[in-house]
Amino acid sequence: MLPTHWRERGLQILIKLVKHPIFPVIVFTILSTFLYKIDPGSKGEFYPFSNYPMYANPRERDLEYFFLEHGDGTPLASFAYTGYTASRVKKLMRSESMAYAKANGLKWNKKSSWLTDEVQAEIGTTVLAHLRKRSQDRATPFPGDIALARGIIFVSEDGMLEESAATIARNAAPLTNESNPAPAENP
Amino acid sequence: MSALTEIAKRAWYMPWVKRLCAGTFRPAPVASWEVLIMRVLFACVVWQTFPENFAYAEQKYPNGIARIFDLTWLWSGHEYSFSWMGIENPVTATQIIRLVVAISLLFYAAGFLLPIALPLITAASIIVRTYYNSQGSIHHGCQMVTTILVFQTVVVMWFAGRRLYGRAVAKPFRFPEGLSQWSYFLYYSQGAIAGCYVIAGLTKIVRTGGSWFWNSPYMALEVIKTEKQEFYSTLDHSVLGTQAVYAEWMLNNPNLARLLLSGGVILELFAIIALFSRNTALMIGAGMILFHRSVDIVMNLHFRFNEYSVWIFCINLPFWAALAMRQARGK
Repeated sequence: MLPTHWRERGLQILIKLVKHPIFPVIVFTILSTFLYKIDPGSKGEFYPFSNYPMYANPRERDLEYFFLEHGDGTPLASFAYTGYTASRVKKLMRSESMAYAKANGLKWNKKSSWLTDEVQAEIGTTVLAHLRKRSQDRATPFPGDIALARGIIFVSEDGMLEESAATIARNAAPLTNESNPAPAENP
Repeated sequence: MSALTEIAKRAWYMPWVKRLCAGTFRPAPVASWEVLIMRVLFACVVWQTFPENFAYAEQKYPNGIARIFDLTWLWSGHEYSFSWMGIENPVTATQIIRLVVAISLLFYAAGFLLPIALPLITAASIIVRTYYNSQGSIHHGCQMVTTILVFQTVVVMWFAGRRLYGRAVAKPFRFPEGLSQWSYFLYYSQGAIAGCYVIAGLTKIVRTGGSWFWNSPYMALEVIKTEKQEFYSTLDHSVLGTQAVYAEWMLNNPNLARLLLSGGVILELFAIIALFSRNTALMIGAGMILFHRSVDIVMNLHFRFNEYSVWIFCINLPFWAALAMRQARGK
């Protein structure tokens, strides 16, 4: 137990801090940083409050990204058709894998490699269907079959940056789409 | 020893050191013209964060208030009938919101009816950006703008309440000597900006237990990932290879990379110093702009609304220009 005069002094400092104009800023900072603990369902995001997790944990690991392909495997500019960047496609994959983990009582992991190829394909198919609908909603439908590919960047044993990519899911074009014109893609 | 102290006191840099140390972490007097410029500029920034329409028909991954309220009425596909002079006009919810926000921003910029205009703008900003963030991917580009609006709204409502209460008990509310509502308005706008950066810095420490600094050269992987994502978004071949140079440099010079990248995080962690005085607000603001410009070059990541906010509330060029002019005239 602390001596009485220490406790009194501590209380005085606390009262002084609470009355200080900077106190609301401190409260906002602490609450936002630990939002994921206060409200686990928020995953640290409750607009406009966020714990800004971007680039918060750099380490030697495989980093993944996702991108769209035409049915023949050539890359497809996601932004032209959906208004979504490849970064948003990756975040969609993450949100969908979270929903999958929750629905199946599994512990979610940020990297999709914890999922089996079959489950990844299932999640990827859901995301592709969502993107197909999105492209139709904004009147820029995909020109035909589309696929989702997963790219991996890693540091090789000799310290060089290496990468690989593979298709994980496919979505066939609905027949009604063939009559719709496709938006122009960047060369 | 005393001779040395005397020499140090007379050193050419001492006035600068004294000026830098003169602060209180409290709101300071501000000129009304200064805040008028801030409001006008920030109104322009806020306006840019409102989208013209929403092609999102659902909120499959609700975030924030969307977890409680259904916001799909914002979808541009929903049209509401609006009759004007006998003519039926179909309008979308986004168009109505933009109209309300445009009018409110005019009041905001002019400084009139703020207890009505500001809550409207803030609520609209939260609703619209929450819906945007409920599509399965979180975008952090507008978060700082809405946070500043939230703080400004609390300030304006707080003092409106204090004034009303003062009138009710026949004891008019008075600000401390030299201060006004605008002093708090500026102070908490800077507080919102600084808070956002401190949170970003703290999260890096909390998540890694401090190993972020040592592991920072592995940001090289993130740099390449960002470049790839940029390419696959538009298939613009000109972006390929531009960031790879920086990524390879980070891996080949890990200690230099640690030094440079850690500088950015330390700046984030100590951003709260911007609240100390006008001088520190300028210094931290300039540091933040440098930080954002570097991130833009190395990672091709843009946070233009954050930068605009820092320019307006922390760097505050009109004030420094006015001060320089006054000093020049004084000479």
